[in-house]
Amino acid sequence: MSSPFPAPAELLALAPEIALGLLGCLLLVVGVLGRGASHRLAAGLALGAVGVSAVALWAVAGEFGGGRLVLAASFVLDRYALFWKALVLVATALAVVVSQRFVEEGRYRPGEYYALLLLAGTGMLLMASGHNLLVLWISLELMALASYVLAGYFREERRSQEAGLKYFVLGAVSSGILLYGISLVYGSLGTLRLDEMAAAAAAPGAADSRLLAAGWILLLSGLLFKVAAAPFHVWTPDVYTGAPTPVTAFLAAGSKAISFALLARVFVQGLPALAAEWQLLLAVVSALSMVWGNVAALTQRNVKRMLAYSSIAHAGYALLGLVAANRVGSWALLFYLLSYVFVTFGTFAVVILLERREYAGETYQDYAGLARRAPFLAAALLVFLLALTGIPPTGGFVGKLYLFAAAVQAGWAWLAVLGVLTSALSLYYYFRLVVWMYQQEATETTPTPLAAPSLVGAIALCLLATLALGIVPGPFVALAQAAALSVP
Amino acid sequence: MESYVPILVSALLTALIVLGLLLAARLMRHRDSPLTDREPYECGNEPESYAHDHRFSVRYYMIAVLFVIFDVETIFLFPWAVLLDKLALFGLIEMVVFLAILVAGYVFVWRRGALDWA
Amino acid sequence: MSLAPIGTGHFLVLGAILFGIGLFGILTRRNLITVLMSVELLLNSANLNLVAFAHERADLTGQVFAVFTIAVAAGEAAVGLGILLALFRLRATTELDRARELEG
Repeated sequence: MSSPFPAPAELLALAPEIALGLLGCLLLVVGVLGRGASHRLAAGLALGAVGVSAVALWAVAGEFGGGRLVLAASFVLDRYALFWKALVLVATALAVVVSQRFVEEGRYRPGEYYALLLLAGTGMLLMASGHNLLVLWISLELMALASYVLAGYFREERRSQEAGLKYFVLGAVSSGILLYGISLVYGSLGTLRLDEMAAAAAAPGAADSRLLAAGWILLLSGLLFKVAAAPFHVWTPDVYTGAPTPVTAFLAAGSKAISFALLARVFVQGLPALAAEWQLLLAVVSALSMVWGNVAALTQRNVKRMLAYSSIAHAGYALLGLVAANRVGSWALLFYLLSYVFVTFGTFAVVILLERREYAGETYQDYAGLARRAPFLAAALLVFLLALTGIPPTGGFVGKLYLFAAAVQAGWAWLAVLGVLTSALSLYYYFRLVVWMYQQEATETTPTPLAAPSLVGAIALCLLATLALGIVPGPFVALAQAAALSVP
Repeated sequence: MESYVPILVSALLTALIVLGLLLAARLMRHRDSPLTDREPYECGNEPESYAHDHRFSVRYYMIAVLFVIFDVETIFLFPWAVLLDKLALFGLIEMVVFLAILVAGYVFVWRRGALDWA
Repeated sequence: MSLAPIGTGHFLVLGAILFGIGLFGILTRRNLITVLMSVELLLNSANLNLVAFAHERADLTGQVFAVFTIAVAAGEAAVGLGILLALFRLRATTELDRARELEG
């Protein structure tokens, strides 16, 4: 019998997480030790940390990438994990880049901000690989605790502080519910390992246990809160509006995508025996999110708030991939979220460039005449809005197409129809913004977009990715398929 | 159900004793109790003011936050200490890394000025 | 005459009651400190379940989980108190109702 303690060499599988986490701590300490540390230096260090982590990921992918279970089977590096880890690193790097202007303007220390971003990123990396509910819960908490502080980072500004407060209170409740669900699942199945859970739940009679039913429903509720699906979305509009915009982008893109990754892994890998039941529940949640998010977005005047409701709707679309119990659904979900991360970061980066202190520049009116004053920004935003609506030639279109196709194939035609109808509805509020940009004239009070090369670069990158995903989806589809197939 | 009878008996007895004591106290105490009876007892000195009139300084919360964090982390030291000889050198190194991260947090808190009272 | 032995069921009921009290406290109280205490109740009710199941199954996993939960709960309390401090410095209150700049 082997030793119960993991071989030290297995810790190497954690190299990307260790690198990002330790460099985050280092940044924290350097930030307070250095006198008046420069903002650019802090941002550079943060980007460097992401780079080191990416190199480490590249290095360990070959050794552990085959899906070998390491560290007492609590950690796995299959292609699914690699896919999400790469996406998390991209999202963290984008968040660092789009944060620069905000952090430089504020009176707060840059080291702390970037350190928190890196620690949230570490949590996300772990979430992609957890093969054990304990690891998954702790990594989720690591991400969440850092995000609460990030959302309230401008602690002397009332809106940011309120966002942090609301996010914390509701997030803490959701973690409590999630943990209670995990405790019941553990009690009924007797294990926290996903593969053993699947085996235990498949045993005759196990699926009928009421303890298990209560457990997975609570577990699902806690996770649906993190992905901001209706009816667990109440925190989303306030937090997304009040938080500093780069943080909003990070939450809307990174946090949401990786929570989906976790949700899919726990339920597809851990509880396939109950698929019929959780898929039914997810179908209801998906329908509610699509309708609620899109209808509520119609009446918004603040662009950030509109995007918050739209993100609820997108959680509904993404859930279609899980509802459809087929291979198409599982990789369509990955493809859709891949495209969603770039689109979301691009959109919010444009919002950042127009926004001013004290939250001016966030209404539809502030986008008047943008096409004339900043043609590139207006064109980029147009493409991102096309992608959010699901119109070619963008990644958003391809993603939605596959998701709807998967739903139809799995016999959920009414959900697909609902998805198409609500997408048509979303055309109204996305294109209201386009009309303001292209058809209206700027007035004296309209803010001029800032000249920030790094942000424009990030927007260009997102634009490129969105178009590439829409025009040549082939290689990306293959990537998503390989990732989805690696999960048994 | 029968096994709960002792609990019932004990609950009844407790209630009786409490009620009896309260009744006895009521019968024996002074009717017109002087004001000093209602004051908080501070080693026989007259209190200068009431606790409710003061708000505790918000700084205490800062200390509480830091205390909670560093105090609870010791929970990981106990199982490690029990198994130290089995964990051997690898375990020792792991704990050093864990403590180094805590120390990094401590340095941050210290240099950030969270420990300054003023 | 002996009492019925206390089994997993009793702990589960106690855990469920604690969970209910915690949830009730969060939904009805408007003071952040009380809400924080309620959150601790939620986490500890789950902890009680984990330890009870671990005892029933003679499996240490649940107890290990509980140790980690305690540490995470401390982190959560610290973040909550930090947010409370920021709230107090800006608004001189710990009542959640005073934070309503945003529409929700």
